[in-house]
Amino acid sequence: MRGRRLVLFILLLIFWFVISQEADLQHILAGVLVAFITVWFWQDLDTRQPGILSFRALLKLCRCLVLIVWYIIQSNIAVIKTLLFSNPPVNPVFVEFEPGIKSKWGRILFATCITITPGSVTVDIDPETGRFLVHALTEETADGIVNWRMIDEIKSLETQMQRGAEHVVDNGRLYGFDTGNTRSGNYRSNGD
Amino acid sequence: MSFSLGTLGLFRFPDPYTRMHAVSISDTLGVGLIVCGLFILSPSWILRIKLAVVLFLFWILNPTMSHLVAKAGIIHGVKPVKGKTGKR
Repeated sequence: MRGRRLVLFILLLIFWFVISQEADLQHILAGVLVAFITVWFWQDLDTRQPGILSFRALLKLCRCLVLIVWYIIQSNIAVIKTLLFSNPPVNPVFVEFEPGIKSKWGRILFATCITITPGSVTVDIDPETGRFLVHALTEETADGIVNWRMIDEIKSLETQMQRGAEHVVDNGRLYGFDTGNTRSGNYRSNGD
Repeated sequence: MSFSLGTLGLFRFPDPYTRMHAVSISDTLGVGLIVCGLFILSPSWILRIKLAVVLFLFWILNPTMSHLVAKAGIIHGVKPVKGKTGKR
């Protein structure tokens, strides 16, 4: 717990220095104070955060980020082609599928990846089954999402994080790693 | 240019869900290209890091808001244009 709070504190302090661009006594004191208060205020969220990333997991996450930038460029070109040259302009589809991602953070990461690439938007995720409801601009986009490489990348990142969490449990300290089996309540308000 | 394409999509696409896809061209490619340009022009590295942080935050906020708009549309019964629904 303390390790995670310390990492959060350091990250917030770095963010403060990058934004303020000053390093005199007043700025340092203000930064330390604000970062400390923020960490203290949000301490209840500790159990919902993923564990501290190992170096390998961090490398994998960076690879995922590079991949997603590449997919953003690709899908932008695809949507521009659809917008300018197809007639009728679109053939939108709602697609429902289960990628088999277990953890909450993994689902959020995948949902963000889907939505950030133009041509597809995650509309809903069932917290129990992990089924995604996605709106896609064309049928080809929908097929592409169901068989997307990012699913395997996120699953492998998940496995790596799980190994790290098991290691932490073996050492006798549970860091509250979310394995996807815990639920914090049903957020779905429409009842379907 | 990508902002113009996003605006063109608002007129050309038929329903709110598809229009969101068009607007995301400007939000991702448009903002990304602007940040790339400023990245080259900026005189110091601290400014470049700031730009990267701005782009990162933008790319986090954009899908969150798109998701909220889409979900609100579904909850309030906004009908999508004639398309297909499928389970895979």
